[in-house]
Amino acid sequence: MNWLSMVANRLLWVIPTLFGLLAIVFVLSRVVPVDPAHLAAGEQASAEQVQRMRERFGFNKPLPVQFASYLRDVASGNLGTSMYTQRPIVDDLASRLPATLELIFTALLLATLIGIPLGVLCGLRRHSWLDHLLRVISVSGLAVASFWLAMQLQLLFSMRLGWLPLAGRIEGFPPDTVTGFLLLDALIGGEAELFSSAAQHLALPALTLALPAAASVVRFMRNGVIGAINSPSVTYQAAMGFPPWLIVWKYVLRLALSTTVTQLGLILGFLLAGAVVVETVFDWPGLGGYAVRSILQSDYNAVMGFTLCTGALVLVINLLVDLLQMAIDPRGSA
Amino acid sequence: MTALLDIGEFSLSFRTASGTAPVLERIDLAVRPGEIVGLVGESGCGKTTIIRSILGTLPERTALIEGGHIRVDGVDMLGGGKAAQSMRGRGLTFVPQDPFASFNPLFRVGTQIRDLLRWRAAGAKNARSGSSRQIVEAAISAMLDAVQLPQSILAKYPHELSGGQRQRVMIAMAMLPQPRLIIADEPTTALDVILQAQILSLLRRLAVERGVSVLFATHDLAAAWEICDRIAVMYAGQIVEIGPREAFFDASRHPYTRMLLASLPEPGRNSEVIPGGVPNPLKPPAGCRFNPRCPKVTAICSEARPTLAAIASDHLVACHHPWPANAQATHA
Repeated sequence: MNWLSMVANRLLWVIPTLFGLLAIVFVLSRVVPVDPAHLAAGEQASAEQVQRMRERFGFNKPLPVQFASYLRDVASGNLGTSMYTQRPIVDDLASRLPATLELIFTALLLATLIGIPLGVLCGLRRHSWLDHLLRVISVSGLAVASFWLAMQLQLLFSMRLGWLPLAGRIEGFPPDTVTGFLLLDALIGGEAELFSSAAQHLALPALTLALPAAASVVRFMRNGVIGAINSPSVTYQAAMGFPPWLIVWKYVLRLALSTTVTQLGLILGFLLAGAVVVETVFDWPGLGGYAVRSILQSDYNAVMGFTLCTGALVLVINLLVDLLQMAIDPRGSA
Repeated sequence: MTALLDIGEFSLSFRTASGTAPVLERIDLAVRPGEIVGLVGESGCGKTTIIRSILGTLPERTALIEGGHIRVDGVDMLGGGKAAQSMRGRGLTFVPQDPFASFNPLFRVGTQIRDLLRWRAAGAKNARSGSSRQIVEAAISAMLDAVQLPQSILAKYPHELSGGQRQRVMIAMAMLPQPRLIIADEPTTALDVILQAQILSLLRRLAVERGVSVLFATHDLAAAWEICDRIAVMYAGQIVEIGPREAFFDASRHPYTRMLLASLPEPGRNSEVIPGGVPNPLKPPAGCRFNPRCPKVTAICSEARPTLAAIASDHLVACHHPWPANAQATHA
């Protein structure tokens, strides 16, 4: 299968996938025993005011009708208005998406920079003290709750040592928006101070997200390396006297990467889910914090918008991962 | 004439969960310069273990070398020293059993061949400089012609090649470093019969043309007869008989060899089955390991291991009661 037909095939599945996702979230949000009209109208509101609110948002209509009219709006690019910010949800999401993307891509970069070399080392020195130590660390790295890790890092680096800011995304006015990624925008604008401020703010949340992800990268790389080392092709190369460094850093590494890359989509999904918690703890102005607030306030349209946005993001990420996989493995097993 | 491959008194065991298995017992085997020697035996008799010992690819954790030596061109191959490492891929090369799994699937065939030459081939030490890179490319191109492959396979991935093409590439890679000895481990088992014959005659022709010695392990007597100058027969970790190709079929002396030959199907004769089964590798019989299945067995066979002794010119047999020369196989 060539990559074009793969992409076309995936795009065909985007619509039904997102439809299913919306249907599930729609039903779930409507069975929660909270009356959003009541919340939106305020605590002091009279029954009449609440009823007016209900009619305004269409909560009085049957569920299928509500869902159908919502889908019609979505198809025309309208995700509705947030009951809380009173702004179009599309605008809310668009202004917050770059912050989340910057956070998870930085976390992914950190996770691979930490995870790949450590995973290779563990695979090469299987059953060494390093392997055992890293196994303990990576299992606990996967098990640790991210809000706990986040607060420990805040305690150590912000409160105790005072090296890094406690929360937020930047000090002072952000650089002119080009990409929406503050680090890149500061670089483009040539503003060293803003760059350093953005990097310092990014460090702890990105690290919090990256550590569990790095732990799973270590596991996958380790197993990939062990599988590759025991493969007949490596035995053949050893028998033919290929230098060990060439076997490991060229041939084994590529084999291990090809198995790890298939897991990248999964890891990015976890990063996106973890961002919800991490953004809340670090007051990071991204989608995650927005989602938490919307859920707490029963801001239905905002929750649905967030779901749609992250769902689409996951689909795009998986498509990119599959393309990457195809580039690494010529057999086209994707 | 000094041997190119010299295996002497070589014994090896594998540690297993249920005990130590003495897999090879006092192997004596020599391959002379320019000679093709077949190593014939049933699956599990220890052929592949001998080969892995020579190539240095034994499983480190379980293999236990009990004694003896393996030398290639005078270099000790067992210690894992620098000289042994430097011998591999230069003086000593390898044609594997499974030509598909032996390629890395993620790299082009050309990349894998060039990496071998860049790092291993004699006279291509500084292959990164322009002039010697041209020498490498010319050598690869000439070798592809010699194994009758188109130049276009260099740009292909292993999965895009047929089984026969893959094994031709493996032979090309074994020949390219201009080795003195090639170890071939059942190189044709993964191929169909017609391809087998083609690959074997190609291997023989190239080896003879270039004066390269070959140790050819196989369970296929016919294949060994096709291309070998001498044939060594193994049974359950012991070498039982070594003789010239002609002697092997017309004047073999060891009862196992005779029964092995009688088990071959032949027009006008029913093949005969060797009674009994291969011994438990954990507890091989004492003395001659074939004694429980042997028609000529006596008390001494389970007491003393027969040593390989010359019974005719260039013909060695390890047996207390070898058949006389030119006697017909009459064990049935």
